[in-house]
Amino acid sequence: MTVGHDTPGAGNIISGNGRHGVYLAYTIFDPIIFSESLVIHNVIGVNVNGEPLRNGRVGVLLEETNETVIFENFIAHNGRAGVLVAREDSSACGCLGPGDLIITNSIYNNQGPGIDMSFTLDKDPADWTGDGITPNDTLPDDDQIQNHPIIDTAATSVVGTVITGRLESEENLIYRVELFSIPSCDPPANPPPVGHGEGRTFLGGIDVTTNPAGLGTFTMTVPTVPDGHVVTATASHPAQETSKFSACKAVTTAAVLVTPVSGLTTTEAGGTAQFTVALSTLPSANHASKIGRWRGSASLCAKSPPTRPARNMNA
Amino acid sequence: MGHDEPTIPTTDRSRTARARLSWQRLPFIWALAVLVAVMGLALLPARDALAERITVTTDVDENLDGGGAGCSLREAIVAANTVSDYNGCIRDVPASAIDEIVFQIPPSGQKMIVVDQTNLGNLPQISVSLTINGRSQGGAIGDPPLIAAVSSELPITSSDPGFPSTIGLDILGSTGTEVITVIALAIGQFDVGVYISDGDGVFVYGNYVRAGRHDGRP
Repeated sequence: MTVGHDTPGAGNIISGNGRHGVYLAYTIFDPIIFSESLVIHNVIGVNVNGEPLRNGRVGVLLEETNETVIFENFIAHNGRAGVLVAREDSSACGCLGPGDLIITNSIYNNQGPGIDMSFTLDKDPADWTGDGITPNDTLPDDDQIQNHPIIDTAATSVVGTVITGRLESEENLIYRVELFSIPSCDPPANPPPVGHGEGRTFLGGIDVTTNPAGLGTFTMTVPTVPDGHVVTATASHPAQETSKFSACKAVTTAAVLVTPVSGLTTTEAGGTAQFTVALSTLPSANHASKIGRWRGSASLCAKSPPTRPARNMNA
Repeated sequence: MGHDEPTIPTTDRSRTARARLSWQRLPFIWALAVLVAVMGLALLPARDALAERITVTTDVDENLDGGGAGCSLREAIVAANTVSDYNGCIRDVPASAIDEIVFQIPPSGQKMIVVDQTNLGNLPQISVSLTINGRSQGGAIGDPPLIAAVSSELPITSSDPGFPSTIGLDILGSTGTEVITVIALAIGQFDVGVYISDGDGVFVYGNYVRAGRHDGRP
């Protein structure tokens, strides 16, 4: 089944429903049902003018499905989770195996988690909730709920925003880690005591290979994320199972910004490179920025600059 | 030829065969022929070789023998499901590949089809290969025909909180070769706008699905 269309903008607007925007569920009558379904290029929780028009409960609810792909949808403002994947009894339903892939969507401002991978599903009409935010498993991560990445740093410089992080999951596998930004984080959950975010703007994806211990690291430079925004990440298992969003990481701007004016490469024969160096914030006292030699290279960058007066942003 | 049986010309064979049809055996032969014919009709494929177009001509939700106000969406779905003309819905124009329900409710432009849940229930489940194309109604881009529930509030009667009471379009997919496509409809005010059971071969795109009667939210 396909809900939506390959062409961006040609999907459905599914908004303002009392319960869920899209609900795909396994039934005992046909265990093959809703495998390999595709939900693509839909707008779920937003009206034709781009204004909030939430579905009362979950944006996209997958109950005991497998191999469903949720791709490039806008899922926002819904009354519960943006996407809730419930796997209460996978062995009984026959959907044990490949999971559901949730990639390259814009998920934001939902009242529940952006993505909730859950072992439970509370179908009380007033609820329709899953497990909510839960901590990652300790290794090995083998419980069908994919661990989410952990973002360590997110710093903006002249080249963009550089995001580093890690993933602790099954060993020796290649995962797809997707990075997102969003203006603010979800309210703190308990546990863990750190708010997990959603993902409004897709920043990019990167393959992360885990080592024999199950640890993988990543560094990715993405277009500059506005000051004050946070970044989040998801991880997708190669057998299709996407994690919840990671905890948020606030984007910081590098304390010293180095901006090239002309080429920064010189040779053994010498040469000239020009660049500006600026502090990212006003200093409150005298500030010295030293520029030294690049060890391991014969090139001389510059002599150490003089100390500048307080509140002078230029080094 | 190792024996003495004479070669009989074809014409002679026919004559011989006809000669064997005695008058007394004819009633049995006719009865057998009728039986074979009936069995043959029963064994014909359930669908026409050529798909047809069914045109919805009224925004009234009706199911009236004799046509009533015209061909309603409800009647058109029955015509598609049964592969036959039904209550004013004529399968008359060959479609490209599979049956297609189109809308030509005069005058062109957006129309609202209010489903009479109280008297007629949900629209019939769609269970055959079919395309429902709201773009055919014409009018401004983005103004597809609307399918709405009755305005009166209906209670949720199911004891299963997960099972919907009112459904806009109810689609039964298949693990076979059926292909059901729903394009460019605005479906609103139901518990569930589009309910798909067994989703193989079902494509839903370009629609505006807004139900939301029960929560009273914006």
